[in-house]
Amino acid sequence: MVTAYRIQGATGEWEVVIGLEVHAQVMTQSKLFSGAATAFGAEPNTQVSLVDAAMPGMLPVPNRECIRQAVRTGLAIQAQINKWSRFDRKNYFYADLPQGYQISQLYHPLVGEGAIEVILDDKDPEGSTKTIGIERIHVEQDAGKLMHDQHPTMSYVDLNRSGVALMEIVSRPDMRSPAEAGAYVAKLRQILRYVGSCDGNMDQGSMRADVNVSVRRPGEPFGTRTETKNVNSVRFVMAVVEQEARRQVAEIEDGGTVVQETRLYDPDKNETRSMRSKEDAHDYRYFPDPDLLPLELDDAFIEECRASLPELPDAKRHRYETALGLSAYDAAQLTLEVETYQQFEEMLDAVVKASGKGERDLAKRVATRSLAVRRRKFSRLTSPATSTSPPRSTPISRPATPARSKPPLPRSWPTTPTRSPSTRAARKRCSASSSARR
Amino acid sequence: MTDLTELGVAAIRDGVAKGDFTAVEVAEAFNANVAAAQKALNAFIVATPEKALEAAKATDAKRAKGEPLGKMGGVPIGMKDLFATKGVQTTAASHILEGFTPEYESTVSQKLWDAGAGMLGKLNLDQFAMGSSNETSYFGNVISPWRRNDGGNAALAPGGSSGGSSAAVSARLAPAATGTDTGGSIRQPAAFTGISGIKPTYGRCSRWGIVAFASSLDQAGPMARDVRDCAIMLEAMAGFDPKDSTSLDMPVPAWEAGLSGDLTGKKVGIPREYRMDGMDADVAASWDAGIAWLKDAGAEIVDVSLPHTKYALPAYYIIAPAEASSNLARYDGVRYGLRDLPDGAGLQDMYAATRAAGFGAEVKRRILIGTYVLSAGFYDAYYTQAQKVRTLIAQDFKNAFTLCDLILAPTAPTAAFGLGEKSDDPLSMYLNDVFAVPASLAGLPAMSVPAGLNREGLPLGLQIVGKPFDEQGVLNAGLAIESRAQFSAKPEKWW
Repeated sequence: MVTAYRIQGATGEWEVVIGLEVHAQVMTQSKLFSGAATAFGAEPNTQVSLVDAAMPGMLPVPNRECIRQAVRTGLAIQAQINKWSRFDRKNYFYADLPQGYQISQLYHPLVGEGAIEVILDDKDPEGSTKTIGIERIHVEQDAGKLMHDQHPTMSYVDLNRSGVALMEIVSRPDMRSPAEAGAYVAKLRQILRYVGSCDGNMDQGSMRADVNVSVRRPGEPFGTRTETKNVNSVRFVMAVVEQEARRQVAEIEDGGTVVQETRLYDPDKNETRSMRSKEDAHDYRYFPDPDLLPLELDDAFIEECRASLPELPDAKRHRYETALGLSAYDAAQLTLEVETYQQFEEMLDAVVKASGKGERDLAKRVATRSLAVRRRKFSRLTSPATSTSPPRSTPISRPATPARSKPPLPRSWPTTPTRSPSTRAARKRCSASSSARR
Repeated sequence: MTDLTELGVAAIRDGVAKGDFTAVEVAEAFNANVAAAQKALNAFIVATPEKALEAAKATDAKRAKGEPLGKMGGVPIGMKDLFATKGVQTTAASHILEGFTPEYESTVSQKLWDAGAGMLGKLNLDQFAMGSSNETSYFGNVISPWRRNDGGNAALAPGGSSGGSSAAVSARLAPAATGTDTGGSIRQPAAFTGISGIKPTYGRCSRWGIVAFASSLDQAGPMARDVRDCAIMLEAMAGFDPKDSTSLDMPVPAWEAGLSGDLTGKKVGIPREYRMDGMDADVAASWDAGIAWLKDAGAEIVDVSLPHTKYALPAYYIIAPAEASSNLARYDGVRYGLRDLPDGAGLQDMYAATRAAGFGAEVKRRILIGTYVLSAGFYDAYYTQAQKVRTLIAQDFKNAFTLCDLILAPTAPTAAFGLGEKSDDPLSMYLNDVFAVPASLAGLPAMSVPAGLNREGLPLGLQIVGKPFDEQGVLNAGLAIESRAQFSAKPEKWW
């Protein structure tokens, strides 16, 4: 067993409690409620429909493929699929939110309770597993993006992301260490990529996490939590947990209390900063979206989704061990990335055909070859599990020219000189890491 | 030659088809009336005589080639300025959308153009369709062509929100006009001006391209001089639209062909809760007349109860503002429409300045009400409770329709009131919709037809409410009343 993670404070040991809300962009050709395209890196405001720009009288129509991908994801984590769900409006004003509300699912999410099993020790994949509960998955619209570096006093809006479908995957507060949080995100990313519902490209903002952290004395009730928004790599998730837990312990041990608030992570300084306290929290005035009927799924649709699922990571790893006779470690390494297992299986298939020998006889040698290739590849590239240097200053590719001011989009407004430092930080962050959920 | 502007939809359509007159002649006649009345009645925000002529020429050319002319071939109409019209300013009678010219055409208006209709102009309305008198328009209120018979010339309300539509049709500026009805906005103005108007079942007409007020209630419909004209125009407007998720995926019945004033075998319910204490005597008398006419048409009259009627208005004034507060959030000065940008202002200041300047008092009032009823701590007490009431109202109608096929009631509690009489008291203004709102909450088809004049010489309307999808039954009962009421009064021309 892995030993329990503890923060050693001045007054004794502390346990950290972590829950994650992961936003995963659904891999589809078009947006959640419009026909506009979703490709990454397009020129600003070139993938914006009348609906995405919230022109007067425009109405949302659900994209069935987005729903299908969310259901397939739910099935992949053995979750309850809710045959009746509904969209709600989350109301707030911001320049990257054209409707003045985000269409989301608060009261009746598409996917209910599920769970995933994470491996905490690569060397002992079978002996170090932990089950992390998933409370729900709901689908919602992404917001647009602000660009503050195009004009000295004005900001521009890029609505390409506006209306893109996201899955919000909400875990139970079941994680107890940075390693568990990191393993959870990595495993979730692995499943999403197997299923094909999200490309998992964290550096492009396709997957990002809100990290909820609290600390307590072991065995005591949960402490007050903070939420650190939009963390975009596995390594940063782990860093946020560690920094935030240490900060909270220090706060309490200094005689203070933890304030329930929203925070932001600054990777350059490796620290979290307050963005908004509970008192400043928005009242989102959620209510059912009257433009949309409840989403009703029939058994045939759900069965079609189930039948379309590929062999999932745990099952594949298990088969590699039992049917192919690979070591637990090799099986785990081969199944980490879709590209790796695909290459392994293709190679194995070819060798079996060429030699006429059985899979089991050849699997070990082919596995060694595949893993060597993988090691070479990943010493050059970064994978989320081993990511060392996600881009910091310019993670989003920016056009060289300012956003076009072709009417009716975009238009600009001046940045206010009287903003509080925390708001300024939030704005900067928004620009640097794609849209924020507020 | 007859005055072409005295003709309705069917007469124009048939006359153009037969060659009695050309569509261009019709368009020119109505264009002239529009121009002559604009100063006095203010029914239009923008007149588009060139659009009316262009469509008329196309119809005449089709006829010359022997091609079919369409359901509305050669008929010029007025378009409520809540429908987005490509290349023509669309304002919802608000300052915040003043100058906004859409690059798209609403589904309903497109269907009308496809059916051969032409546009005389964009009709005035209460701002964002919020009002019952047309006094909330940023572009000045519409004046009803009607006057009391007391010899005075007090300016009267044309009703609202479709007050430009009702004034234009009754003053012979248009043979018909589009309206939208959220809580009576087609029926009440129709009743105030002695014309007919039908709000179909929720979902019959696509909402795509109509500036939203309250999405779960908004429904487009025709306003015209008689029941047949309403049937013709509704056929052209209705139909499934994949761009509106709440659109009904059902075929559009041939309502005009199905018209029959014979109500033999039909049961008409009279809701006892609508007969209120202190009811206007003329309104009560017209209701009694309506009962007699429907009996005469062969219907059996039954007493029914709609016990939750008294909660309908309060529930409506929670649900509609709640939805409106969210629907109107998009008017923020960022992408289109008005932007008020004080010197050195930031984003929040721009929002505040833009919305303060761009929305009128009634719109602000409803946004505030809606924001309040959705806010944390009040949501269950107001919004959830109002939704429960809405369910009970729908259940009331369902129960009543086990005993009857149609319901007959007055359209409004009074005839038209004078401009300014109610504008200082929003509650008394809201009460004007008391008979109209329940059918809106239940999503039912409902129609107002003229029943007669009151002692002041002003029109009174009768309302028929039908089962879901039974526009035909509603239209037929309307026809039965129309043929017996023999309503031929029209406002005496003073403009």
